[in-house]
Amino acid sequence: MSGLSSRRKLFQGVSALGLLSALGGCPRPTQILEVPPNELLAGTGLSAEVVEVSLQRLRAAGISAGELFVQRRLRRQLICERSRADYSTTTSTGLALRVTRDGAEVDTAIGRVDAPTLDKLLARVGVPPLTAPEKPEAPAASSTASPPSELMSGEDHRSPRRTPTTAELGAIHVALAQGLIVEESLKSTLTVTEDSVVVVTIDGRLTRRAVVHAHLDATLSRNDRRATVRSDLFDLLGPTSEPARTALLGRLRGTVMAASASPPPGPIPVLIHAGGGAQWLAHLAWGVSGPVAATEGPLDSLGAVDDAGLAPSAGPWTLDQPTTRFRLHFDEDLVPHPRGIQLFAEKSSSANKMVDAFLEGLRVVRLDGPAVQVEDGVVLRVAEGWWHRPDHPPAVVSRSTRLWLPTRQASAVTAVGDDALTVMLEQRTAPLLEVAHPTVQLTGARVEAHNG
Amino acid sequence: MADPTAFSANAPRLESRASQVAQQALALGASHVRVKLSRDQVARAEVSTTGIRQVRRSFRKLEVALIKIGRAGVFSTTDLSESAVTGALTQTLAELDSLPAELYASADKAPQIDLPPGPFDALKLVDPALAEPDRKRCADTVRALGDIAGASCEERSSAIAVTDGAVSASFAHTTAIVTAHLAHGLTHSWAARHRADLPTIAELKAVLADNVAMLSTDITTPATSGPRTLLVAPEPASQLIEALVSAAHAGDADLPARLTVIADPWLPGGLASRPFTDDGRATRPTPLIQGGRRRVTLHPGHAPAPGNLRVGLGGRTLARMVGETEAGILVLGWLARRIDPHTRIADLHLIGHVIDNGKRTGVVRSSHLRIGLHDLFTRLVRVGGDPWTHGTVRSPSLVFDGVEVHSSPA
Repeated sequence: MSGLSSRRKLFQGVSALGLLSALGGCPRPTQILEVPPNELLAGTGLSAEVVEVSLQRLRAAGISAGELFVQRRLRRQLICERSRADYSTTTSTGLALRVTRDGAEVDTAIGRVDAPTLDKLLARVGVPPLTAPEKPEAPAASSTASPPSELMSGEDHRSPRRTPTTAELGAIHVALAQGLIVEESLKSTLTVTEDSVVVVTIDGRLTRRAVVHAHLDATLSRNDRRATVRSDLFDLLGPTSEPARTALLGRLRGTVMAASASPPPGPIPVLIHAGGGAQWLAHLAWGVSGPVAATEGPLDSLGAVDDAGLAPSAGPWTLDQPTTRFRLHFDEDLVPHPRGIQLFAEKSSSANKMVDAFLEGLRVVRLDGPAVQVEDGVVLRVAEGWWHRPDHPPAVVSRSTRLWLPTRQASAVTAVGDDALTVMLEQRTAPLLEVAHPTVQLTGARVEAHNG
Repeated sequence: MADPTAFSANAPRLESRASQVAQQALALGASHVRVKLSRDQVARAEVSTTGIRQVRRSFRKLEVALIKIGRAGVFSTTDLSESAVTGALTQTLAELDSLPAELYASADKAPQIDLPPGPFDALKLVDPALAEPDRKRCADTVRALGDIAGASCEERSSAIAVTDGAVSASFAHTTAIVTAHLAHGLTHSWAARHRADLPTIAELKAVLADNVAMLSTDITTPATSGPRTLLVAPEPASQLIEALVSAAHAGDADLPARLTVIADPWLPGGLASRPFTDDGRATRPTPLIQGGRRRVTLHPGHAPAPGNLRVGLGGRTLARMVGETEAGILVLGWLARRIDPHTRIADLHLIGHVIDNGKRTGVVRSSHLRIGLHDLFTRLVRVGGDPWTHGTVRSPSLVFDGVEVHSSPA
């Protein structure tokens, strides 16, 4: 098997699983509906009446700018092995309030969603507690001293993708397992994360945004060899998913059967497939230990983004400004928080040609966290990658391979592809982070540690 | 001022709620259930160049493990309302039913599912000195230390209840941690069950002032490269012991017979002391390394057993060992400490003093060692008798012989 043909084969495998479907670089369009307040708040633990009274109290206290966030995350995970399945769910809920008072922003949050909790949040920003007759159940009584207001119907940004059922998750593993041969075994970790955030502004406008993210980590074992690849789970759902399943098994077998090797420590040319460097970019945007205040403005970690976060002043690429600031942890001070990170370039090259022309170095399909900050760089594990050498077939990099990537040298990126892939990252209890980037090639990276 | 006894009532209350959830799960069709309910209250203050930041946090979490007709599921939630818990129980059980039968082995081939564990021990323990975290006390501490170093102070009260539906166990305790960040990345941390068990503010200030002086002193005695005797003080020695245990490999050769490390959950006042595991089993001390030999299978990166890591003591204090050393380096802290989890190569940048004829002389601040952790511990020649008491690892001073120390540019 020549290096080029095997590389193409693998890349085609990747493409079939979602790369080509997202070449436009745009997430699927979100369905937006106009929905009454009670419907938007249904199931959150807060009624429209309770929210209405709280907004009135905020305004009566002289607070005219601010937002209330009602958040819920449901994470379902099914781990399937031969003759065994483990199912788990995790629910996180919380309320956060951000207001502007006397010219300063005040943030507060609690990991519960109910009327007393909202009352507590209001007290924390200086709104006097309710007296007995003013309890939220009787909004009319509380409105005597407050300006009249009304919650307005709001936009409901629904996820464009249907949430897969748990039975469907199990069926994916069963279908994949049917394609195995005797000496192979498969472990599937299927993860579905649903995020829902209702944002209420003090003037009574509501917006709900729901996102569903689902992926499969499939590990194929054959004799003493093992390979893990990640795939978008939506491509594997439904009756027309047979080609995607076949491609996934092909990709796993290609990785299991390829010789593995470790690149030598030291500088090495690196090509990262679209979406594969999401952890790296998230780290660039967030800094060392999660979000930092600086990310609210221009991304100073690159030094190549102007105040608008748009025009690169040096180097062929830049990250755009985080699209939305948001809360990080419940029960702690709010921290500015990006919702979306996108890497784009003024000038791009054909991603397919970049991959074909990449004959020497480390080709990374996916990097994985946690990111370890080191001096002027970050070290990430190569979850899936290939080492290319002239006159040798590509070799799978060993599981312990870690890559040092620069955090301050925008010029390290030498080429940017014309493709793009959006990847969702789960960041603790924060909303899912959308990270989009095309195929990139860079110099100055190095293999940081390996043990053969 | 909050009532300090209020939080201590949490453990039995959590136990009662956990039992209620377990009974509900059994009534809804689960054949076995294990419920863990926990509550944390944290007060934290930290001082930096921008001022003092204070956080007060309260966190509750419910974790339920269920088995229904041989199918296992777990759910965890922070929403403890009746309706949310009932909904989650019902949904999880329904989803277990909905999973394809092909995912599970036939009954005769089904693997044994270890839930609930047995014997389940009904242990109840509430720290009699339990106190509510005090944000003001934290703020006062960091304010006092703020002139010398960046500092943070955290007080935490935790209550945990575990039940299998029939028998329950619960405990509640507190922890207090003070951390100071000095120049060149030097960090010191003191932790104990109660704030009163930590050094006083005056004592902390004195230690930090010594460190500041050491960091600002010119390096009068640059250590040349070459094999050295290293005397490592209890705090940095504890960090080495923790790394050794968590980076251990099953096939490692024996270590010097003078090294014994025990995971001890029964240590009075120990930070990691606890009556039962997450599964509800009673804990017990477990020897990890005894007389240099590994006694349990260690998995890299995982805690080998619950409890405080306690190192078997020798007889000498650090001061006496310094006095007995002709030439060597006294290590008082690590400016940088990095251990590769795969190769287990430790990269350690040290700060301390040169020892010359039993006396501390110049400051060493620009030297480092790069050595395999296991290799380093094969050079262990002496174990002191002065354990570090302000952390989960209680190591005394350790003396290593023939360690290659490299001199770096200042």
